[in-house]
Amino acid sequence: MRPPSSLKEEFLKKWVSSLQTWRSSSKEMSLVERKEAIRLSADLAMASTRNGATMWSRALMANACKDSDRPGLVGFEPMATIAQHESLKLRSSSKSITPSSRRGSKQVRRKKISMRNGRKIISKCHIRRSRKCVASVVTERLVKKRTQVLKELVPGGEYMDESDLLKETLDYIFSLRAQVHVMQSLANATHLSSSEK
Amino acid sequence: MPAFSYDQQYLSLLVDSVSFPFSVTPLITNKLPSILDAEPNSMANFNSSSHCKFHYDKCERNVVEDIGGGIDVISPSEKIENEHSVMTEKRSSVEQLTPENHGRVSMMKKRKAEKGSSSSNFDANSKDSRARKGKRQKGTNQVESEKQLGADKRELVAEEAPTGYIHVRARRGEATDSHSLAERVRREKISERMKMLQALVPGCDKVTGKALMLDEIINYVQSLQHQVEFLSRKLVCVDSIFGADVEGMMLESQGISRMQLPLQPSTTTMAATLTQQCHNCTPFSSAPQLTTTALSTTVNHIATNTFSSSELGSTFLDDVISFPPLDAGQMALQIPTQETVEVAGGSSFWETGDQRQCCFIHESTGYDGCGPTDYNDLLLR
Repeated sequence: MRPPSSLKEEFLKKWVSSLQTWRSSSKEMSLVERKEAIRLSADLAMASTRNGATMWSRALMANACKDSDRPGLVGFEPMATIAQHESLKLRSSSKSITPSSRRGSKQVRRKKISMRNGRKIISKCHIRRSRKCVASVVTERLVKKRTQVLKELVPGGEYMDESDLLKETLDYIFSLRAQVHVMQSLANATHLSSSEK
Repeated sequence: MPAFSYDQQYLSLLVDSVSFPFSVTPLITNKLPSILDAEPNSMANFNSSSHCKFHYDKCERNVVEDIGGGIDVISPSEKIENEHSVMTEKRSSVEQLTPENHGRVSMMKKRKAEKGSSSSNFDANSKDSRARKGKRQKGTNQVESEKQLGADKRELVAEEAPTGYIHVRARRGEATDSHSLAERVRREKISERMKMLQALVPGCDKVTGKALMLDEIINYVQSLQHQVEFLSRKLVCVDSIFGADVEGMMLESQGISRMQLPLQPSTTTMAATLTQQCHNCTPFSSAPQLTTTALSTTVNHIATNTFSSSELGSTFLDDVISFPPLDAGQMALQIPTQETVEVAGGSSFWETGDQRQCCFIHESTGYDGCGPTDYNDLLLR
């Protein structure tokens, strides 16, 4: 079991080292770029603390490898090579997943159509029953919509089913909280010190 | 309950019709023929009544079928309430047969209550039933096999084989047990994870139901991501100088006394890097000339300060204070609501700094409740 303090320390160490390397590599940067670099390095550091055990961390690193216009930043990450492997894996897995998901969606569509026809055929459809069915259908639809949103929020969420998604969300929330705590403490410390000055 | 009263009345009627001649017999022992005469009457009555009864039975069977068909139409999740409604509607059509109907139907209800799934499974069952819509009703074999199945399986209502009703949506158990078991396991896994998330996400205790929970989770994740974004923006100006010292601070916080020695030379390198970064920051800094003076003060501070394990943190703050690019111009861009703490002397500041340091590094109880630790245990299991 990893205590939260050690997680934070590890995150901080990795983050700072990545920032150092980034700073040494480039001199001039705009504010926006700087902010992006800080955020990216923080995210990557947090992801690397997981050592590739979770899907979201791997997906995050893979996306960073793919999208990063600053390969130097990612290159200095300890998990960079693993991230590259993961990006390749993700690309291949996404290719394999989409056909099955397409098939699954077709099946779901067929089922829905048959269900609708079945409902039409049923003559003895009491109003109360149909209302209740509608309510449950509505909640189902809401839940589906929200899981879709959550899939977009959590990195690498599109490739997971519901139970795995919840597990990854749990881990992701945990890491995000640690990240926010560390960054906040850092900012507060510097502000305090500067205000003292 | 009116049904039973009806039954009782009916039964009492029957009994009266039958017993009447017998009650007479003790009085008229000799008048056997009369009794015999009376009997056929009673028998006739009885026969008629029995005939009526049989008729009723037949009619009732039809009614039962009809009701059974009607109930079959209803999804299993609304069994008992809708049974009442069905009863009321059927009652109007078969007024004469209501007594028997009530008796039989109440018996059916009882049987259903025994066999039927618990209320906790209603939602699950409703989902499964929806998945199985449009399937045709099977015969009595299905009923028997379902009677053998566990209590949480759905059942067929009709006792006899309703062959004339094709359009009903069959309420039946799962096609294979493994599917239902897997489904149940999956559902339980999801609910368990939702509970863990409930513990982790603040404000989720009062919320029940999947949709609302997911809503809260989404909001929380979004807020955390926004916070990260915001803090990174906040740290832009701060961070440019910061890096090496933070690392040094990290090493210090771990209580590694042997790092003291390399720390001193590192400060000189830090100073060098600081000068570099100050130059980088000239576009942003309003008073670059302050940097060099601040740097010199930094170096002096470091040189004069004696390292001890308890004060290791304070050295970091020394460096922090001296960082020039955090000058007024930049900090004004940042949050202006920073309260300035009046420091009487250097020592008090170091104390607060140490406290800050402790808060910063040795934060171990930053979470609400026992969520994270439990979660870690669960994850690694």
